[in-house]
Amino acid sequence: MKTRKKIKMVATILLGGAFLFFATLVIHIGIMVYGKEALPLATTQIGRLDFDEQINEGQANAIENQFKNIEGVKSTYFNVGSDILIYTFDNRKNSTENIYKEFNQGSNYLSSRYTVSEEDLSKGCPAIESDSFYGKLTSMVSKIVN
Amino acid sequence: MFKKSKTPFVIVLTILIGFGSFMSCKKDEVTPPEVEPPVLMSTPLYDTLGWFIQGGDPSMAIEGQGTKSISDPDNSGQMIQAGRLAIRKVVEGSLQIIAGDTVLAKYFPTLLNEVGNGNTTGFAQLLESFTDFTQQAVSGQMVYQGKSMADAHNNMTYSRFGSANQQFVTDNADFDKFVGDIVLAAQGLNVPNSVIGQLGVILYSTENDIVQ
Repeated sequence: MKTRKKIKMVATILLGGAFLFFATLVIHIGIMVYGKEALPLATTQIGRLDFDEQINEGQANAIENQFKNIEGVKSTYFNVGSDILIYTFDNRKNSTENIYKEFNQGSNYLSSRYTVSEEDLSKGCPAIESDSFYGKLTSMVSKIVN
Repeated sequence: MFKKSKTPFVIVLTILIGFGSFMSCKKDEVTPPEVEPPVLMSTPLYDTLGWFIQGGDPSMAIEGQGTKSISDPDNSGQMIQAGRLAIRKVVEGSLQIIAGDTVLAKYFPTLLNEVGNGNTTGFAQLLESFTDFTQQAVSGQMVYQGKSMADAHNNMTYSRFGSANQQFVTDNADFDKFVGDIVLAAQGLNVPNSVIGQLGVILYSTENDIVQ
């Protein structure tokens, strides 16, 4: 009986301690992120289209203009030498899939929508790891307190 | 006589101690003395950039124009230092060029990461972190909170860069390409060559940390 009581006490102390540490971390994050402004351009996303044929300057300009008329698209950049179109758009207003569909409806060019593999995503800059446990917890607490 | 439990006593004592600690933290209601806001660090280059983004003559560095608080055109209702806005505009253009650069895109897959409707994008996160880093390098203000350039570009210290089996080779040619893309973006914004040259010197000062 005595041993069982001791185990219970140790378990309670350990669990209580862990909870206190976690609560302290959450409160600390809450204080740090309280009142922090939202990131500028938070919902601006980059999309990329790879063209299967050589595109000249004139065609690139025409494609860029066509893109700028698509809902949500904010800016475009055509790398003529590589036949790659980069565009930014507001992801609250449209998606890369829809934009690609819409572009193809009014275009005769053969192109493919570039998507990043999970493997590639796991290795790349940036210097702040937002996918880590701390990153996710910070983002969650920020949503609650702000 | 029956044995009394100590639990209620411990609970009451804990509450009293907690309340006492809380009350001891309560500030006296005394009007605090007026404190001058801290002077933000700046440099002539930061002032030039701040002056430039406000439409001023970029051949001049007018003191205080880098740290001047102006309204943020990309974040409604928020203010931003003019120098930081100029840097962010250059970084924003650079990231688009880098995303379309077949040599460099592999280093920044997060730029083209698809996220759900309304979620913060990898582009926005990298834009913020890269802007913080450059602002700190140009102005001297300690705003960057990410890893050191050496740690962020080494798989041993940062698992998101490269992999244990297949290291990315960040060579000098790629770094030149990276700087070249930033120059292209700055030229696209009509940043004068004298200013681009100074930015280039700052960027190249990190080369030894990044190219490993």
